[in-house]
Amino acid sequence: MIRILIIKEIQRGIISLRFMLTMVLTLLVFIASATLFIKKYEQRQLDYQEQMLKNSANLKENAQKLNQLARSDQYLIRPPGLTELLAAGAEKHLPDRIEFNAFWFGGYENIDRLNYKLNPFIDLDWVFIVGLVLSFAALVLTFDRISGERESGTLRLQCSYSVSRLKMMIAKYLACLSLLFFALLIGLTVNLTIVSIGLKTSIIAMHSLQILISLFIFLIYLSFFVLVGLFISSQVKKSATSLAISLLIWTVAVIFLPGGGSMLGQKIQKIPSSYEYNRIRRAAWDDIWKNAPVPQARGYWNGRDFPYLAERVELVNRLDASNDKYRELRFRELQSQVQMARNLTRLSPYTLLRYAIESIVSTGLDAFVRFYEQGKLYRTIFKQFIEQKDEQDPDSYHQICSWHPEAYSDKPVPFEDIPKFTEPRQSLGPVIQRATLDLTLLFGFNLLGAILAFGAFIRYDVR
Amino acid sequence: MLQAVDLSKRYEDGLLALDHLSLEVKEGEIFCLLGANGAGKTTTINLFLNFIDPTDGTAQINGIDVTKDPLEAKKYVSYVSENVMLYGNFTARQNLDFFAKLGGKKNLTKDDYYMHMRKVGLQEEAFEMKLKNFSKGMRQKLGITIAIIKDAPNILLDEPTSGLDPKAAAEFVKILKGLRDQGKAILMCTHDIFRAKDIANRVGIMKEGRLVMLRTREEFMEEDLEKIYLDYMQEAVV
Repeated sequence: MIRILIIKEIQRGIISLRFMLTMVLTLLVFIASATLFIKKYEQRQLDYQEQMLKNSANLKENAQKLNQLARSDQYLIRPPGLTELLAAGAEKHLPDRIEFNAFWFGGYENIDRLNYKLNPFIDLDWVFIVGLVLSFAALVLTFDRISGERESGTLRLQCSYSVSRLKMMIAKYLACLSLLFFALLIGLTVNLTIVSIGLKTSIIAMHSLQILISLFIFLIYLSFFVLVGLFISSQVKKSATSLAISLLIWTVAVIFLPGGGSMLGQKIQKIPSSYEYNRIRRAAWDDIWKNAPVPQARGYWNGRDFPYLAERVELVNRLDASNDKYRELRFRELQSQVQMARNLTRLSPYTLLRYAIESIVSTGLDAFVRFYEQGKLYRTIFKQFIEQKDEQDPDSYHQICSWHPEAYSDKPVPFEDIPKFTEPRQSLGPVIQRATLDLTLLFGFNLLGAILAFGAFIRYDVR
Repeated sequence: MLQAVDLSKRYEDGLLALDHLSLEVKEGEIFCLLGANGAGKTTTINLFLNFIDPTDGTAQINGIDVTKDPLEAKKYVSYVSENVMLYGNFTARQNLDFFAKLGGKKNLTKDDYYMHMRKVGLQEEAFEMKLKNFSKGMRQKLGITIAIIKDAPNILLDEPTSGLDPKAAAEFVKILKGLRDQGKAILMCTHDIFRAKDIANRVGIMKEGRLVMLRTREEFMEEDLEKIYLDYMQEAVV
């Protein structure tokens, strides 16, 4: 019985003008997405390779002297990822490299852009297409599934048959979801084909699991909007009213909530401005300098024979540590503010979709924070390497600090010995774990939608 | 058999739409319910189809209480509404196919559909026509075809001839007579006293939710049914 109902609902959908339009629009945006991505990815790949070469040359040059290597600024560079096609994660607004040396860390570029005020609709990635275009299509395909049938009288005739309303609703739900899935699948296939040909690399072979999981999440997301459409359609008698309410809910859920939550987050959790932060950092620095335990350590530096060499180096290291502490504090405050805003925007299913997919494909803010942590770890390893090499030099005073290279080794270091930064590959377990909260909430939204939609239709007056 | 026992319906706004209606439509019988708008005719049909729950009493189809077991009861009833509305973007074939399967007739062939369509006077050319291009008469005929295909022993008709031209209405009446002769129990709600007089085995007049008059064919043929009906209607207006 349910098969008959599903086939009928699918037939109705397929021959409708709105489904044709959905197909055309979906195809167009997926083609546009692929074309834009190829262009952007190629450019970023070129930039990345250029920067890596520069970085490598810089490191080689500075390896001539250990004290020069320790003080030379290095860049940890984030490679562009193919999975940004799925969820760009506002990567172009996040720092793409971290600047550091053995004595300081956190000169990452664009730190002030690390905030939640970024427009969420900036990249034509899969999340954007499914999140906006297909969720809208979901409502357009469902808003009159019940109220429209009531208006036309077909619901009354159907209900005169020995068919439970539960089955009717399941059929409508599955049929609408199938139509959307079909449109999505066609769009994705075209998109992946264009990208694979354009970049001469098979993204499917490289990221098949991530793509499959993402597809599943897209379905959960679209399922919610199908249920919302059916619920509204079961609540009103006129399909025009249903359409108006559906559009209103879509606008709130997909447009206003992500932006509104961010603004609210900014109001709730205020953090000092960059200027204020620099003032505090500078005051701490001055305090350490003025209150040096051995005041003579602040004296004029006249080279390795400075009488308070050890005290001077300790003072400089304390100053650097203080700077590091405040940079870290600033980063954590920004991160915490963003997290607060992200939690507030989790009221929106669109935001949940974005966060879940970003977790799965390792893009976005969380991925950047992991990169930052890995960078910090690497910097510690790098500093230990400098210390070890310095210890091996019998001519060194072994007083390592950022101000006075004369105080430690200036011997050359083999380039091959310098530890290299590699970002560890994410295994599936932690990836799923990170997406758990957003997936659970999406499931919760679905459960609520199902209860409301089925409940409303059971009580619906078909007359 | 269709049976209403002390059937009542009071809506949430307090309106008593049906007041202890008791009637029985037997196999091979056409029972016409006459009455003005708001007399309770459609409410009676809605109760038989379990579209609404009764406040009191029971509606039974083949002895099954529709409130207690609606899905089982609906197996034994077909329904044709005032304006048969099918899926406009579907062809007649698609509509017939869907409702036939919904009624459990899964193996019908094109010839079977043709045969049923011919019975109600629909041409085979209409088979692949989209419903939105059908006239009202054609839609009513397709509606009755769907009811015939379901082959339920009971048929509920809600103003089925309303809006039909005289020829189409006459054809429709002929079809109903044929169905009655096959042993179907038919309950028809209508304003059309002339059609009722033509085909009914029994006639009931409803007013303000109550069955105020009940006549067998023999009785109403001897009386001036039109006058009785009009008297009730005038009383209703007054």
